[in-house]
Amino acid sequence: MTNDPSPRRYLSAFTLCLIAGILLVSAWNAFVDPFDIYNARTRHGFNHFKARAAGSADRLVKAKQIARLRPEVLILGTSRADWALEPSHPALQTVSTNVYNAGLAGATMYEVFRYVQHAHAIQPLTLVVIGLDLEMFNAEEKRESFSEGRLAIRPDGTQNRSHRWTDRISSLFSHDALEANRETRDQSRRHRDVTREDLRSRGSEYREQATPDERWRAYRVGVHQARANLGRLGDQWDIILDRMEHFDRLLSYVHREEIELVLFISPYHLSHLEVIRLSDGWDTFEAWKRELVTRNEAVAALKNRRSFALWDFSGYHELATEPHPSPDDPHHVMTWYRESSHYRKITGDLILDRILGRPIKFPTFGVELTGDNLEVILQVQRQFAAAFVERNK
Amino acid sequence: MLFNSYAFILGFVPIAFLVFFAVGSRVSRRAAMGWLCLCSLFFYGWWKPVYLALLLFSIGFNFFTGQAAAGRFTAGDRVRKAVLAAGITVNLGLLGYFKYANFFVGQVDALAGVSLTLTPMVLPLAISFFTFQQIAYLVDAYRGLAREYHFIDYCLFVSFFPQLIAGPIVHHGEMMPQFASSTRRFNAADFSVGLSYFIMGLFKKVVLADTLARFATPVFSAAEAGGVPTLFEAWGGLLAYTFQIYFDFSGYSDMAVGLGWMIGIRIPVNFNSPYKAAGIIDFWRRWHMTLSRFLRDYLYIPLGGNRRSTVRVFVNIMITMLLGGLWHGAGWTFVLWGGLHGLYLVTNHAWHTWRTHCGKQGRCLAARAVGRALTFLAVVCGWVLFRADSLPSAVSLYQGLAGFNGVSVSDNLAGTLAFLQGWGLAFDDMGSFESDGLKWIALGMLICWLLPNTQQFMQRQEWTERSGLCRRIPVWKPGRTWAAIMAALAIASLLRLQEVSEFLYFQF
Repeated sequence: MTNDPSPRRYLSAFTLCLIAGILLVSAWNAFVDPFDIYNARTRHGFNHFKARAAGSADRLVKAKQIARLRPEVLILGTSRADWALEPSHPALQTVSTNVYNAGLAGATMYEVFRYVQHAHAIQPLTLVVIGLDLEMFNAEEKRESFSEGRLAIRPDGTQNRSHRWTDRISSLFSHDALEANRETRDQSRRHRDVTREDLRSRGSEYREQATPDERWRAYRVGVHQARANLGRLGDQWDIILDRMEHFDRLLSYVHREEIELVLFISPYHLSHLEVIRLSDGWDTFEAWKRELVTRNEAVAALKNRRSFALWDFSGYHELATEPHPSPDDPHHVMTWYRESSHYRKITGDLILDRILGRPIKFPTFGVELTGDNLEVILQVQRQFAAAFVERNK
Repeated sequence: MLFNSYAFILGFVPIAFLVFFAVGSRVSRRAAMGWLCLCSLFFYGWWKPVYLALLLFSIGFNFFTGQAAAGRFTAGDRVRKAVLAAGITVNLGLLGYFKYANFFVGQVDALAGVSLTLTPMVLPLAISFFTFQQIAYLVDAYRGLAREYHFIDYCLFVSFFPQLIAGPIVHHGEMMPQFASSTRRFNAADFSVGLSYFIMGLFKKVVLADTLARFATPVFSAAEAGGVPTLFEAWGGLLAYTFQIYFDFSGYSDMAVGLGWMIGIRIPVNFNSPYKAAGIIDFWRRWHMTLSRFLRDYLYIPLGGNRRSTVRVFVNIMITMLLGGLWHGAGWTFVLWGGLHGLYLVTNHAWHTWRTHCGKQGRCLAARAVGRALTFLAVVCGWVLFRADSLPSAVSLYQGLAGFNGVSVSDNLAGTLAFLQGWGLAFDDMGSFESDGLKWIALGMLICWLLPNTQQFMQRQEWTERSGLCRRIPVWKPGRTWAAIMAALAIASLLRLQEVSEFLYFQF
C-alpha cells in the first residue's frame, strides 16, 4: 500500500472529529449538570429536576455535594434515612442551618464511616444523625459504586487532595452521564410544577408521588428484597460481627473529633419483621442490637466520654402494623410507610422529633437503648410480636 | 490490561507505538522488535506479574526444545522425536496443571468418594493460547517446517500483545517472516486501516456485547441460583448471549487485527460472519477460524483426518471436538458443548455424503435459508452448555426453552391476553428486557445477518466477497465521511469505557 496523502487526511479528519465530539459531549453535560455537581445555572423546565442526583449516582453526587455545600449537620444511613429525614426539620435547623442528608441507597457501615470522615475533613461537623439498618452489617463491606478516590480522606487517614478531580471524566464524558442528562431533561419537562427549592427542602415528598400500580409493585419488590437480605440471618452472624469493626471505628472517630452523634434503629415495616421472625432470625436481630449497645458503651468508656444516644424504632408497634397493601387490596395507601421497605417523611419527622427531644404523640414509638434497659426492652418487643401473632392467627 | 480501558488506549498503545516507530526508523528493526517484545511482556505482567515468569519459562523452554527437535543439536531422529514428545508433554502438563488439575481432582473425589484437596489457583491468563501456538511450533520444527528464528522474534511471536490474551491463534509461519521483513516506519495507510479495525472492534465489544450482556447474564445467573426461567425469559437470555459472545470475541479479534495493521503486521482474521453459515461445517470455517485451523492441522489430520473409513472419520471429528470443548474450559459443560458440536458435524458430514451418494448437487435458495436457520438454531442451543455455570443450570435453561417452566409475558399485556390465563399464561414484570432487550437482540440480528462483517467493510482480506444486501453497502475508504463515522463510533465506545468489563475469552 502506498503512503499517499489521503490516509493522512483521513487521520487528521478523524482526530479533529474525535476531539470535537468529546468536547461537545462534555460541554453538554456540564451545561445540563445532571449530577448537580458543577453548580451549573438552573433553567426551570430544562434541568431543574435532577432525578439521578438523588438516585443511582448518589455515592458520587453526595461526596461532591458535601464538598460544595460544606454541611455542619449530617444525616446518614440507607435509602430509608435518605428518603424520610428532612434536613429542613426544625429540630435540626436549631442546631445548624447547614444540614445535609447524605443517606446512600444500600449503604454499608464502612461507607457510612467513610462519608462521616469525608464530611468532617471538609467542614467540622457538629452533629451526625445515623439511621441504622441490619442490612448495613450483613452485606459486602462496600458497594460497587463506592469509590475511595472521591473522598477527602484516604482509608489510612491521610488527606486525599485529588478527590475533587476524581469522577470528572465519568460525570462529563460517559454514557451514564449522557443518560442522566436525558433523564434530567425529561423529568424537568414532566415536573414543571416542582421548583428546585421544593426539591431541595422537601425532596422526599416528591419521591412519594407514585401511581397506585407503582406503589404495589414497590411493595412487592420490598418484600422480595427483605427475603433476600434478611431471610437467612442465622447464617450471617460472622459477617455481622466482622462489619461491627467499622461501627467501632466510627464511634472512636466521632468521640475523638468530639462530634455529637445520635444513632437510631429504623422502624422496620411489619413485612420485614415477619421475614426476620419466620426465618428464625429474631435471635440474630436481638444479638445485633446487643452488640450495638455494648460497643457504644464500651468505646465511650474507653474514651472517657458519655456514650451516644442509641434509639430503637423497630418492633411490632402501631405504626409498623398499620393495614398494608395485599393482593385483595393492592392499592391500599399506608399512612406511615411508602411501601414495605421505606417509611414516609411523616414517620421521619416523628423520629427526628423523638431523638432530638421534641414531644410526639406515640409514646411507644422509639425507645433509647442502654445496657441497663436493653433486656427489658427486648422482652417487651417479643411480647408485642407474640401479641401480634396471636391477634392475626 | 484490557483493550477496552483508558490505560490501554490512551497510555500503553501510544507509548508503545511511538517508541516502536522511532526506534524502527532510527535504530534498527531488531531493536524495534525488542521494544515490542518488552511492551508485550509488560502488558502481560500488568495483570499478575508472578505469571510473567511462567510465560518467560514457556518461551525459553519451547524455543530451545524447538531447536533441538529441529535437529540443531543432534541429527538422530529418535532423539528428536523424544525431544518433541517431551516438549509437548511439558506444555500439556503445565496447561493441565493450571487449567485442569482442580477439575480432575474433583472428578476423582466424586467417583472414588475420597476427599483430595488442591489449593485453588488462578488460571494464568492466555495459557491456552500460548500453549497451542508453541505446540504447533514444536511439531513444525520437528517436521522441518520451522526455520531457524531469532530468539527475540520468537519471543515476540508468542507474547505479541495484540493477540496474546485471547487470540487469534497465530502460526509462526505467518508471523515470523513479517517480523523479519517489513518496514518499521509509520505508514499512514496501514495506520488508518488498523485504527478503523480497532474502533469497529471496540464498538462491538463495549457498545454491543456489553449491552447485550445486561439481558443475558441475569437469566443465566438466575438459573444457576436455582431459578426456573420461563419460555420467553430463557429464549431472550439465550439470544442475547448468542450475539453477546459473537460481538465480544470478534470485537476483540478485530481490535487485535487493527493493532497489527497499525504497525504493519497482518494478524489473521478470526471470524467471517459465522451466523450466516449455511451448515455446521460452514459455521466452523467462520467461527474462531484460527482455533479451527489449529485443531484441523495438529489434531484432526494427525488422527487420520478424512482419509480413513467413514466411521473413523466420524470418530476423529468427535475426538477433535470433545478436546476442542475441553480446551475452552475445565468443566463437563464445555466437554458436552464440544461433543454436541461433534455430533452436529458428524450429522452434517453424513448428510453431505448421502447427497453425494444420491447424486444431488447444489441447493435452491429456500434450502439454503432453511440450512441457515437450522444451523443458527443448533448453534444457539449449544451456547446453553457453553455459558451455563453447571449442568443443572443448563438443564433448567433447556427446560425453559422447551416451555416446561411455564410461559410468562409482560404484565403490560395482562389486559389483552387475560383470556389465556386459564391456559397457564402468567404475567410478570419483564423489566428493561421488554423495553430495551428486544431492540438490542433485533439489532444484533440485523448486524449479523444483513450487514457486511468488519473485513468486508474494510476490504482488506481475501474473504471479502459480498453478496445480497451487503453488496450495496459502501466499503470503508480513507475519506472524510468514514473519518466522521469512525469518530462517532469511537466516541460512542469511549463513553462506555467507564463501565469496564472483561472479554469473555479471557477465561479460556
